[in-house]
Amino acid sequence: MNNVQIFELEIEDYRQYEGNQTIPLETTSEKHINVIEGQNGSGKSNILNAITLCFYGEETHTDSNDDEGLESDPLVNKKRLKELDPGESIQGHIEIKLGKGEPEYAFRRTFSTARQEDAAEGDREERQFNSSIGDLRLRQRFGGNDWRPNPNPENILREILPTHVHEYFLFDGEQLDEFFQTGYTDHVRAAVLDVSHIELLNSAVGHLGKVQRDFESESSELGGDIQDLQERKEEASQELERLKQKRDELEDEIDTAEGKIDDIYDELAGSADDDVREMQQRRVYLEERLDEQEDELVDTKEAVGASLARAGGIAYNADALRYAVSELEEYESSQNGVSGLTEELLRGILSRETCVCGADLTECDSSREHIKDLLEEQTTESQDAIEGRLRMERALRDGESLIEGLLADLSELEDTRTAIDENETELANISAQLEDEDIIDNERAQELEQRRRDIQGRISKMEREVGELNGKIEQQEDVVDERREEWKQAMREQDEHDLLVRQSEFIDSATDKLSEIKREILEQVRTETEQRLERYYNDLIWKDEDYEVVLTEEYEVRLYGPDGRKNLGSLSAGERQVLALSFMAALSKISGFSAPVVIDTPLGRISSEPKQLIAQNVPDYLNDTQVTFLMTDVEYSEDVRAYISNEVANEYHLEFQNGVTQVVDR
Amino acid sequence: MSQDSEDSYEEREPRRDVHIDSERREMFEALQESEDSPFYQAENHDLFMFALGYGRENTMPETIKNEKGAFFGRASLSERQQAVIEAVAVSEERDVRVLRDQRMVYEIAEEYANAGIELLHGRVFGPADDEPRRELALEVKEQYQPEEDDEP
Amino acid sequence: MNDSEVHSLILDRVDEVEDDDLRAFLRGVLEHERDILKEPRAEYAEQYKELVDNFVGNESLQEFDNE
Repeated sequence: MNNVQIFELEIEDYRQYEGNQTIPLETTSEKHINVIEGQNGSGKSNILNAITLCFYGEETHTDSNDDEGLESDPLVNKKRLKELDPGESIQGHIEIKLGKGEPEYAFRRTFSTARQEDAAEGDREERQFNSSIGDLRLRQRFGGNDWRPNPNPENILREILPTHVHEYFLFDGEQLDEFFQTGYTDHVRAAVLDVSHIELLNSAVGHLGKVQRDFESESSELGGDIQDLQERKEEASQELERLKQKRDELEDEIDTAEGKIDDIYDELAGSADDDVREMQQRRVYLEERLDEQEDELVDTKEAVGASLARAGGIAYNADALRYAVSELEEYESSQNGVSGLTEELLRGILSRETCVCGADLTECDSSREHIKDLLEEQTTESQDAIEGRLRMERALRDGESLIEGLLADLSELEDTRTAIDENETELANISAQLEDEDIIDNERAQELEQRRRDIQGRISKMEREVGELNGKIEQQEDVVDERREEWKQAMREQDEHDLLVRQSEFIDSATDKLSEIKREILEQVRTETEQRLERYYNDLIWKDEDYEVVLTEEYEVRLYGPDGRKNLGSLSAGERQVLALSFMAALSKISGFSAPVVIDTPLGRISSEPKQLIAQNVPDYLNDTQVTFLMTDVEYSEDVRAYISNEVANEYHLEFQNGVTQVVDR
Repeated sequence: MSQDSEDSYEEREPRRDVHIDSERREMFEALQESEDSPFYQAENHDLFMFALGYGRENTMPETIKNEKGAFFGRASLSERQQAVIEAVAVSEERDVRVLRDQRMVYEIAEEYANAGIELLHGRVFGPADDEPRRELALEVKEQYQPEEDDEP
Repeated sequence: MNDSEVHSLILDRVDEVEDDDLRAFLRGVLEHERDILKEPRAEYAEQYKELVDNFVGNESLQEFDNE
């Protein structure tokens, strides 16, 4: 195995896992899959939580079936906690051994739960517990069985699987469904930026800018004009900074406001009032639909742009085409009359070897050559003319279908516009109804809706401001450039200041180069992600058809099947799941990290038939990486098991009895 | 045939690129970049052909006064579009023999497009039309099948 | 790939820069940025100024063009 893998997972007294349980997970290139199977509630998802708790100090999976949420449960196994008196505590730990060919690193995190004084809850005494998490510790192997402490566990971990990309390697299949909900393009953009280290470039550019201004500010000590120019330049830069900052602040405020609306939506969606819930549901659906429609609108505008240009190119010139065609026809027929030397005649002469004037062509090479030349010219020219005319006739005929196409596209555009209007009207109605106490007798809902409208109004206003600011920023950037040029001019005029200018320009070229690299890398990562995404999707999806996946410059994912574009919202849960799994695989590859992958409930949402079909393709999924699946018994049916058994290195079953889970080798 | 027309048109190859007035490039771009423009995201060569036609229909050809800039490679044009450009030249010169001088053929096209783009830009971004897309589409349809006899 | 190094995507492109001085400067900056990400320091300014002085103000840069 060329990639880093988990050799062993050791769990002691963590949640359902009583006592010390060690799970060997070593895989090979031929058998790269591990399966840990258990029913819901048996502690399956806590295996994933154990790993992230160990590495990052947090449990990232929250069971959507669990009403209480993990936070309320103590970390240490409950059975063990029964042994405690108030004031006492028990420690547990998680240790993970990692390495490539052999185990090299052992990461360990301890945690403990202490029992506190009981609290009175009605007429009962409730036990109170408090859990805490220790620091991450690391032992490193220096050959044989020589393991020694390494004081920098965070640094080593960052080289293997840093926090910011771990979500693409250790994730919950069921939470993937949320990945492609509204606003996903931001997630996608963040993911792509994440894996490409772009922040490094942004930071470098920012720092270089400041250093450059420091250099240039030294010129203010030179006095006179130069000092003035330097000050003007500096002033313009500061104004630009101010504008940018204002814009960034507004954008943050917009994000916060949108978050508040999300909260309101959540509350409305969970209302006890049926009508309110239904209306909110309808609204969410309509808003998603509206997003799609607005995308369609842009696409259709593009289509109209192309068809209008093409149809017009023919139509406006139709008269010229007709005229030219008739002129060429005349020319072709006149060719036979004008010189009297038709192609037929010339060929006849050549074959008979006697000219019309009686001369013997076999005797005279130059005459024969001359006639051959005439023939060639004649045929080429008339051929050209005929071809030209034919092309023009074809062009003219094309006009018909081009115009039809144009009118069809226009129709579609208008239909989409109408649909959008209808949609917006319905949305406005829903909002009005929610606020109308005659329709919805629910004070809370009315209150929420009113607040939502206010916040939305603020958001729209802020978005307009951001638009204006962007315009001003563009202008101010021009002003800054102008003033720098003026300053440079003045500086250059005096040789002794040449050095400062050169330093400044050196930094310019460095910044330009970094910006260029950034653009190129983003583009490269985006296209690579797109290609892999398409490949993995086609690998995993159970359909026979070929799909095309596009990741646009705005980080929107578009899926095209044989019948055209498929809206993400219309995909089945299984299809969305496969898309999300493919996306994760693509990002994990591109991140450049060779870490193991652990997926909880990969096939949870998929109904049985496609599940088997996907299972057939699973062995190919990330086949050079250690992949550990945490599956329910329903997911890991006999059929699925059969399909992947050749690739499975380790298989475990979680036996949950009396509140405790035992890991058992199958 | 070559006998009586050697003195009319010089035989010349067309240039590799098709050019526009560099000062008018912004007009093309504005028409392509604005979502409100009926030519949103239209390709350079397609928009050029429209401007060419529009110029022919509405005004006189205009020589390019400023620096010429390459706008697209001639190879981007489809066969049909090249045929249209040739037809325009024949119609302008009232003589099929202009086709020998391919360079002139394309210069004529460039001059019509040059005139056309200015008008087109004014039309789209000016105050008049509310729905330029539909209006232009209807005009296009009419141009293709006019009621009366066409006399270029 | 080590996270302690700059992503190879970036370094590969930096290595393509033909100007030796510019290339070395960019590498220096990026490696320092990588270090800063690990442990935030405010010292970049001094370091970068030194780097710039290193590469500019050289006799060999008499003909330095800005591209």
